[in-house]
Amino acid sequence: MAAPESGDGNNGAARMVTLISSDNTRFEVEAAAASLSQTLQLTILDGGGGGGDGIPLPNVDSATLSKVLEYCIKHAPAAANGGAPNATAVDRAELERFDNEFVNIDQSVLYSLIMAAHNLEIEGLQSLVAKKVADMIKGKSPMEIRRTLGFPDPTPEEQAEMNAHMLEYGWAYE
Amino acid sequence: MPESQAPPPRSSKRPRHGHLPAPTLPDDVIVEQILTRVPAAAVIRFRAVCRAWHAALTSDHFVQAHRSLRSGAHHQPEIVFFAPRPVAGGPATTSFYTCKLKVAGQHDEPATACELVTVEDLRASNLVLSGTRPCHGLTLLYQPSTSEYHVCNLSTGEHVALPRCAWANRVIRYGPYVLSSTGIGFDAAAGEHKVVRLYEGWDREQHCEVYGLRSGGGWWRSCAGQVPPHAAKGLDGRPPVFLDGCFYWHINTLRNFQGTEALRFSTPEPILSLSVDTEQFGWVPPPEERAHYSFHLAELDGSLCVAVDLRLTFEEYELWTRPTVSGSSSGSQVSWSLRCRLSLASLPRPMRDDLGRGNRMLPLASSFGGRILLATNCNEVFSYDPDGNSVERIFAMQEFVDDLVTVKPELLLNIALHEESITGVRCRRSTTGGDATQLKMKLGSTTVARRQGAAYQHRNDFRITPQLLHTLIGIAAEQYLPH
Repeated sequence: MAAPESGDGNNGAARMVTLISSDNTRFEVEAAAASLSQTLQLTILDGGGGGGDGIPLPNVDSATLSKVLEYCIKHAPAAANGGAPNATAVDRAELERFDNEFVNIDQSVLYSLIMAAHNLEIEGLQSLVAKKVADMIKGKSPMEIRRTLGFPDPTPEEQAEMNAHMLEYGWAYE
Repeated sequence: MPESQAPPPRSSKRPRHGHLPAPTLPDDVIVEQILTRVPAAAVIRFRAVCRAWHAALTSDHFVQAHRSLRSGAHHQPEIVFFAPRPVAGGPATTSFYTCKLKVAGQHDEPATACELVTVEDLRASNLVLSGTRPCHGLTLLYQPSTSEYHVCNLSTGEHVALPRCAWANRVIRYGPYVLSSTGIGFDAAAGEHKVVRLYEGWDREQHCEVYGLRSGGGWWRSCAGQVPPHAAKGLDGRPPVFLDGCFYWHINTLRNFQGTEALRFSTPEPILSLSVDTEQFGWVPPPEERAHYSFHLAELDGSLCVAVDLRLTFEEYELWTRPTVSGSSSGSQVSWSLRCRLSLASLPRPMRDDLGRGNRMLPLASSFGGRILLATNCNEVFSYDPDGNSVERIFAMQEFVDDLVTVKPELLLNIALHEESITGVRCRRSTTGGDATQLKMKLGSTTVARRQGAAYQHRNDFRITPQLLHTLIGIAAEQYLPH
């Protein structure tokens, strides 16, 4: 990857770490990118993930992990600048464009991503994907939400409660 | 929050539906991650999804999480403003809009305003919002002359009509001015919003009544503290400032007390305070140097603020602030300091005239790179840089709604800060006064684009309207006819 070298590299090449997905695929990635994950950052600071061993991630499959790393690599330079006070508007617009494209994916992939971001504690990715899902569901009615999330059909009792709610908060349903 | 790497096991109670995508997200991730990012108006609807969601979405923890995500999401100040909505042949209708302001002087994209809610049967003229920002997510709406009060969450549309209450005595026969002032505060110890109404009844007695949104039941109760004599005689319908557990009223001695009345009704200080928790009154001295000038009470970033109007003498405004004392309502030792002196004379025209127009200027907030947002009752917001004494207009209501329908408020402003919030109004309709008229509320769906060039036409703001004529006749009558 042509990502610019982050500040802590003490010799020419950026430090690389290896991540191993649940289906045993190995990903070699710059430590700066992987460190966007709070959980990985600790391991990497302890010197883990280098050389031949790699860090196993038993909860993340290879398809999801490659997507996660795509995000991390793109966002690593800005994160390394620590909030990037000198980032230009162009850089920020480019990241925004990337983010919009990035979440333009299937619902099931979004779900896997949100779980991976949750487990790996990648704050930016977590909020990006959660925001996308929130935008997808915000216009739905309670029944549509139940169907989308696979909840069982409401019992007559629950149905009565839903109707009462709709009556009381009528303006919220128009 | 579980720290383990493994996702919590899925609840096995949910059967999976055939062709639909299988649910893969645990409940805590749905609630904490996704539902906290849903707009406030949708959260209300989502409470009906199931009992578990209802419990989660109405919890204080969730309300807090939703608020902190929303306020952290953008650094632009947001305002709410309202204007009449013309409905051909229909009842008087008022729409509330929200708009993000650009403070730093970039004119890169045309701003838009989003309709928050529209309320039928509500006249925008003389409609008063409880202050320049919501109190823990809620706003009090009222027309002083009708003694009807509504607490409303302008983000979600949730609203409640407070029980009917006694009419207040009038300052003058016409116009919105009444000897009453009502505000909404939050009692942190009791964990509830309280509406406090200080007024002079038709029996000429001074009253202070309290309505707790959770504890209220169906009636207003008397305030625990003793109402200072003549306190309500210095009121005019404007709401108090609520700040850090205390209400503050400006007892308008200049306007209401004249001649011998000034002696009979004199109050120790022009600022009256009431602690929302102990319900005891106190007096706050104003800035000593400006005690006898006309001023408006306001709030500026958590401090009580006095906006002194020196336009007639020095062509200036002054903002004085006084930090609040934690846990004390007396605190006469706390001193005022001059926050800034805004010299209109040194501003270039037309800014000098624009900011000087109207009869009320209040600060909304500060700290946008040291700038202070100032709103006027001419429905405009300015960004003021105290260091350079420079001013920029960043909002004009006429650019968003038809100039013909905007109303100039006589009492306060038609603009306030907006904070998206899902705070509930906490009481069911049935528990409030059964005969109180509920608002006919509709959630907004429209977005209005800013029409450049629609504003800034120099108009002659002073027009003799029938209403003004009535007011003048009323004032004259009050002056010369004994009570």
